[in-house]
Amino acid sequence: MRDVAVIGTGMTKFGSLGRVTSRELVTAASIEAMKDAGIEPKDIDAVYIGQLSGDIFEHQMHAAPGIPDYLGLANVPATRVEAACASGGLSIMHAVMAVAGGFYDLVLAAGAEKMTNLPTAHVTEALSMCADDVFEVSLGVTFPGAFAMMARAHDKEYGTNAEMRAAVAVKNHEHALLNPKAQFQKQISIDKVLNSIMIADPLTLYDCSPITDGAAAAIVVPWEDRHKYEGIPVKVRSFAQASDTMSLHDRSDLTGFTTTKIAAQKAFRMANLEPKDIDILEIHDCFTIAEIMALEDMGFYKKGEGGRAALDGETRRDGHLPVNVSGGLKAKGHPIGATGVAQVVEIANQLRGKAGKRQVADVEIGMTQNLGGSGSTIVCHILERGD
Amino acid sequence: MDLDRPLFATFWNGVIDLEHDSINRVIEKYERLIEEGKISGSKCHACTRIMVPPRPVCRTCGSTDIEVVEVEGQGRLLTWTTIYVGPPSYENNVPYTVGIVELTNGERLTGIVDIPVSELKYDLPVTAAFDDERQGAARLRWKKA
Repeated sequence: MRDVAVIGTGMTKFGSLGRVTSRELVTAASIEAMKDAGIEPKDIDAVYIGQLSGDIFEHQMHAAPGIPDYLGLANVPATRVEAACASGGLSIMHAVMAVAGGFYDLVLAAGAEKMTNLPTAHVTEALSMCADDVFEVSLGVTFPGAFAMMARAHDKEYGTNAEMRAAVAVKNHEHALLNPKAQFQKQISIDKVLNSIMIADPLTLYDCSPITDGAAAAIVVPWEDRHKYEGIPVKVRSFAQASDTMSLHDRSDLTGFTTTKIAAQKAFRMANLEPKDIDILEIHDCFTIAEIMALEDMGFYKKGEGGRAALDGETRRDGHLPVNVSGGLKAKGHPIGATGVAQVVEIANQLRGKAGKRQVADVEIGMTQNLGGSGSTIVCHILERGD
Repeated sequence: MDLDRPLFATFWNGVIDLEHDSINRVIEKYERLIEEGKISGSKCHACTRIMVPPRPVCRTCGSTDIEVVEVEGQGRLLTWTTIYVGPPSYENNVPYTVGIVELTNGERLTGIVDIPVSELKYDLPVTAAFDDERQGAARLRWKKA
């Protein structure tokens, strides 16, 4: 197996982007990534795209060939990867595996979603299809509902509370103020989170990530080729994926995700690293409770300590473990298929010193955690600044 | 696209060719028993574990020697949420509460909770009931025991 490098990144503005298709979004993000790496479309051997549902959001299936089509590369192999909200992370992972395995020498790993065409109720329905249709969705369970049930279980077991969850939202909104591509550039307060409308008790509107359009892209090459391209390379130290039951009720622990534990442990083992070696994290904060649970499940905090850590500011950009400096899903936005790619883009940019105003000093190793469904799919990556 | 009309069929009303049928239709059996007002699970004849809802392969021992059997519809409320923003199929029901219940045999199941929110608490004893307005697995309701 070959070592793999990320040598270029790109991302569109995240937000409500009007009349535009996801393939135009991917094209824009890809052009930015290609410029960053100093390559041209003709250099690309293969394309992966993470997308939840062009089917429902855009009436467009078969998203993959649309990408090389728009890049003027009609015959390059292209594959769509779907793993609910982990589609983007899995797109990166498949690109990395294809290069590591020696099948391709330059792969474009992208992700995109165009969600704002539909009214909120229909988006809620489309997203809920990522849960168990027979045993959850038919009974009215939504994703905010599933995470709300976990929040309540976490509260009971560990005394986590609404203020701790709100601290996650406040922090990630504050981070997004420094990210010009984030959906929200708006400072919020703990009171604002607590007093916003209830979505699924105990989660309020500001505990939830928004509906977002956007795309992100990364260029993946063999590590041995890294000096052929412009800029500082980032080494992919490890990747890992795990699955769990479709239904939440089929799991013995409702206060976290076994999948996050397994994927994180596998990623640490493959990289021969431990949580203390990680300088910066992008975590799947689709809901505030999800960031708290992930930091615990990955081993950065003991179970029950994640909420307190947020409240004490330990996970802020200037804290000892910066988490979601991009603004996270919460404030940067959550265009489903783009999210896992955008996490890798943020970590890679931070490691290369290209994160602009939100650059965190002296970061060498970063990690991502991308979640699909109610944790039924988890993908983790560990990246390191290269030479 | 008219999204008020279902794009995807959930219920099959046609004729099934059962010759050479190797499918263990656990969901169809579960839903048929729901129509009779019963909760069911899969009993593994290899290790005796009963799983609710039923599954075609035993999660404990991997056996496929599985039979769908009725189980007791009593349990305790583990967690719940009141949903204020629902999908179109539940738009007229908001706010409504869903919860996860641990049955007396230790298995767990999600359902609508038909109990006033002010009375909800961890470990509240509940019993299964069935809504005539819905179809199949969607009929499950939890009421106070």
